[in-house]
Amino acid sequence: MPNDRDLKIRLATIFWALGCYTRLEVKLAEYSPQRDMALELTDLDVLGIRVSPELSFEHLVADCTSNRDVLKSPIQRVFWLRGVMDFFGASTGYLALNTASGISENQRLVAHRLGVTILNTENLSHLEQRLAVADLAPLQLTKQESWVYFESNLQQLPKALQPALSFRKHTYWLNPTYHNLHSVISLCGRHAKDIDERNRHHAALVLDLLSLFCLALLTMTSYVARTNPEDPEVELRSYFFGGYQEMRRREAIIENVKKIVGEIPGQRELFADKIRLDPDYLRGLFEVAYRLLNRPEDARHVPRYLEMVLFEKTLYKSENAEGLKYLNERFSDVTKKLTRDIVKFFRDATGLSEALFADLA
Amino acid sequence: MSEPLKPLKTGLRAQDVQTSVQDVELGPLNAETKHIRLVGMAERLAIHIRGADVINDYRRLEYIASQFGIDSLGVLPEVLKVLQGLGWVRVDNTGPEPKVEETVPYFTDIYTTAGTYFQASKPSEIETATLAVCDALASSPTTKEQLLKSLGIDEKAYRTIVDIGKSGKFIDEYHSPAIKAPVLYSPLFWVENPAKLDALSGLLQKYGADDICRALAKVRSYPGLPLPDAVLASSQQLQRDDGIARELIRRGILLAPDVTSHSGRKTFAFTPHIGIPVERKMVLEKAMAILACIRYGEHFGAITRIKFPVDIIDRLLAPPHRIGSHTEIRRQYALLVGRGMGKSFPDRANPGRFYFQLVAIDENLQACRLARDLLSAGDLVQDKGLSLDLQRALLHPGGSYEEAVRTLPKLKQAASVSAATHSRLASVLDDTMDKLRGA
Repeated sequence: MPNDRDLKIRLATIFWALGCYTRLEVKLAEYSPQRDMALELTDLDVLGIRVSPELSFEHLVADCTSNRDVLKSPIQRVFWLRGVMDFFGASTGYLALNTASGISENQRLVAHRLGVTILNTENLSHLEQRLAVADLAPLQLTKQESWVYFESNLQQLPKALQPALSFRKHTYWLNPTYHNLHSVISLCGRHAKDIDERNRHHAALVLDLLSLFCLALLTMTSYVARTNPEDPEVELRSYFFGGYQEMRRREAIIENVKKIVGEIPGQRELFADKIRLDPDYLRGLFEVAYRLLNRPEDARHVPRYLEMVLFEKTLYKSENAEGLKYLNERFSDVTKKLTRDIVKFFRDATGLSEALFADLA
Repeated sequence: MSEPLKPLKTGLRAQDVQTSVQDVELGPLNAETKHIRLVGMAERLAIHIRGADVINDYRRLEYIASQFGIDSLGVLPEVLKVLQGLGWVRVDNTGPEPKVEETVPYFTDIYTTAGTYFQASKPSEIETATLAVCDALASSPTTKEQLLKSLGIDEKAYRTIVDIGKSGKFIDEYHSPAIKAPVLYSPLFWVENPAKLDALSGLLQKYGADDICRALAKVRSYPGLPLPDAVLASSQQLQRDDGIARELIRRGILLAPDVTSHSGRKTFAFTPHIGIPVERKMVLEKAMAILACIRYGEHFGAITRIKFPVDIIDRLLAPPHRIGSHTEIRRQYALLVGRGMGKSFPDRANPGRFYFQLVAIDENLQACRLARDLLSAGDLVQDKGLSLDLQRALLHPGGSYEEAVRTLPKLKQAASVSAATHSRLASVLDDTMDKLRGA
């Protein structure tokens, strides 16, 4: 995170002050059939995800730059940022320029039409004042060194955990959201043996993945809240499999496989338990999704709570009294309880050690 | 000895027994029912706190628990231990007062889990047999001789179980002049149908307890049992079992809705059910109608037969609440259309085929869920024992606090409560429920 690091953290802090869960340096990638892997296309400096009390999602994005060409005429970068915003379904974008120089009014107006606010350093300072960002200064997640500590230590993790690092950086953002529910569980389940419960950076990685899982879970909950909240089971299941038609298609495939296996003498019983569409954890997933559905005001803060715990407790071992106070006072008992419900489900589904989640107990 | 009770039935009957003995001073029999009562209390508390998420004020929980006979001095902590063992609550004892977080499941039946827990808790032989007797009597009355044989218990254990059951009014016995032996029955079931007990008594004399019990148990284990056509044709001579079925239907002991479609008129038998509040009797009738239509397709479909009845109910439950298209639907589901529960309409793409679409009002959806419970468990599972009256009474002062089943035994002296205390308690309870529901 060497380039424009200060700006990125400042924008992330602004997004936090605006009620967002924040991510830095999200890689935009697409799967390459030729290389059989996801290839990075560009990256997004800061992403903020804000969940409303009615469980709708709002994405905020920010690009931070010191590039001289962009500083001279930012409008081309604005058009690029608009494309990134469309990719994420974001309605609000910020282009933060590392310069105090003025920005022409016509460029500001065109940017505004595209949903982008251009900020020079003076604009940025004023925005920070209006949002009382200074009050957040004691928090670890608003400090450059905390992010560097977090990210650089992740890079030192054993090679076996590389798929988890790639997942959090770009695979998650490449996948359809429904797909990420199983992806995170499956990934963590596969790598449970590689994760050292005594290593705080391993725990930080797990909490980071858990926060992404919670986002996917809230998206599922949001879908059901809008379709059939009174009788959610069917909607939850169809969402999990990518929609009603896709679910039926998969069920038909399973039925065909069952028929084929059933034709093989002696195999019917042998694989009867394995050939089924629903994973073992599906009921548990419905349980936690329904809990979130019933407590939207508290549920929407779960990803932010996890982000905060990751920095204040897991990485910095509760050394920062202000951070602990913030955790105690700004998050409700129900938010913390819902997080524990999700953790219990997540542990059962993945086989990860209880000790990894000790900071959430 | 008969097969041990399945966990689902064990859980259901534990709740029935605990509800019955809640207000009864069992004295020395207390020890004989310890595990049953603890699991039953845990189940009842669980369904009432489900959705509360966090209970910060322990005193509030004590008030709620007291409604189910759970004394805060000693019993509530024990019940919480059971709930913790079941994984349905987390109790934080680090503060000055315990803080409780509930995670009672919504999508899995709590009774199978609770029943499994009960069986693992090393209950006494008396306790296991008590639940087995309670379950057997939910199907039909039976004789002492049959019980001793099927449960493999001795006379002493039998007397203890009957004493417990009589104290809680969930078992009673009368001496049958026909078989010259005691016949046991469940007042929980017959209290709603006292006239039918007399009718049944006549049948017991005529056919003997063994055959009557077998006939009732057969229907109980397969709700919507298709009956041979001859059963309703009064002129025909019948085999003994069919004759018994006909008599049970005539006396209103078995319920038998009929469905007419391509294979003619068919009748499906159901036993009445305990544990269903009076306000849900209409839902039960609708559930039986749904099941009868589905059983028709399962047993008498002329072109294709239903292989997975639960799938049909799931489709009715999910939007667009529609099944089909199929050539037989129009006639097969006419019973439901006639009751205003849905409509059938032609498939424009496939002439001659029809869809059936449920009117997705709450009562119809509840009926579908109940029909699914009956198919999978033979009994009400969802929200069993959840007292809407109690909830309403707690939310809106002036209502009754009594549960229908619990009003049977009234042996304990009611506590004398002054008007001021009553008012204060009512206010606390109102506030409690309000808080528990997220206010």
